[in-house]
Amino acid sequence: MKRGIVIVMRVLVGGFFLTSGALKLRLHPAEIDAYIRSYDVLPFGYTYPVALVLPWVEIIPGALLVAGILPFFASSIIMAMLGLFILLLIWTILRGIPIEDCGCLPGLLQETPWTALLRDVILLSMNIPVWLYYGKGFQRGGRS
Amino acid sequence: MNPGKEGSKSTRKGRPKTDLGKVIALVTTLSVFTALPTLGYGESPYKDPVKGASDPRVVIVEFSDFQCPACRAMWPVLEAMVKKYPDKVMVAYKNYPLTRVHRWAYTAALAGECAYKKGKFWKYHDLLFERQKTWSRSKDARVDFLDMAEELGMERLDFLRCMESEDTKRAVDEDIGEGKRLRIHSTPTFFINGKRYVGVFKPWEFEYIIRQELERAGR
Repeated sequence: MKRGIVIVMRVLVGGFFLTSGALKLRLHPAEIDAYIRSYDVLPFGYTYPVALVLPWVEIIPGALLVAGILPFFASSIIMAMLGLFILLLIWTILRGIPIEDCGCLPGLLQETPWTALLRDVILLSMNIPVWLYYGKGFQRGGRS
Repeated sequence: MNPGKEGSKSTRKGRPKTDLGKVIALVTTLSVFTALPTLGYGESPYKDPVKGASDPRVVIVEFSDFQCPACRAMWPVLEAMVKKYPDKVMVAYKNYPLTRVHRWAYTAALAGECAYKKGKFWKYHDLLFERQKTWSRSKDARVDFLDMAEELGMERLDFLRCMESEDTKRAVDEDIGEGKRLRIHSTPTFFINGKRYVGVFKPWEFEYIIRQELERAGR
């Protein structure tokens, strides 16, 4: 039963990242660059390389997690990304940057930083059991 | 919980590379299905409203929406570039009204096209952006568009006929079609000497791009 729950959570979290990355990949990198620039965190000139890489950084661990391949590795990457996104969104809200669309699911759903923050916290709380479950396996020398 | 149970067969059989194979197959499949062709911008902007240098070294083609606040925010930046480099930079305007989110964007594009036909595009363009907040909230923005046309000395009825004409719609639809072919999703989208830039830029960022293009063109 517990294993079943972990698999459901794994598919949901991984599926979200897979979808988010695939939606970004449909856009020209300049459009992703515009989303990143709107957060005003990275210096000008550094955003475009991030825009080129970001969809793949979401797609690869997302797909791995859904498929159950290297789940601990995928879950760890996703954990780090969710942590980073949460910090970024909190900082954006605190600075009062008016972002109408966070660019998380471009073309599918327009989310404000507040709704994105809530969703990321939910995803993080779903990813923690997945990470712990496969982490134990990793420590025991099982498949990670 | 039984961690590590899933798929442990491959390690036991001494084939630890199976995972790597699966990963490569997965990435390859995803790349094929999601590959995005690189799109440039090669068409001549000269049939559209243009401003600035007649023999430019840097051509900025802007796909814009009169009801889009980001486009409004970028206009002074473009204007400053044209003023700073009057014999080097040219701006061409193309309509890309985001009708899904902006109720009056398409009608505003029609009005802009009519002002272009009457030779008063840029004055009308500036007025549309200046009063964007007002007409965007209007119940019938067509009245506002006609008022603005009249204010600039264009005949009201004539302007209305122009806005309703098939010819005007065709011109706006051509721009939209071009934008769709270029897979534009948001405005403003700029093609600066063919390279795509999207969204709001700080004035110094935009000038940096222009100066880089000027340097390249000067070589």
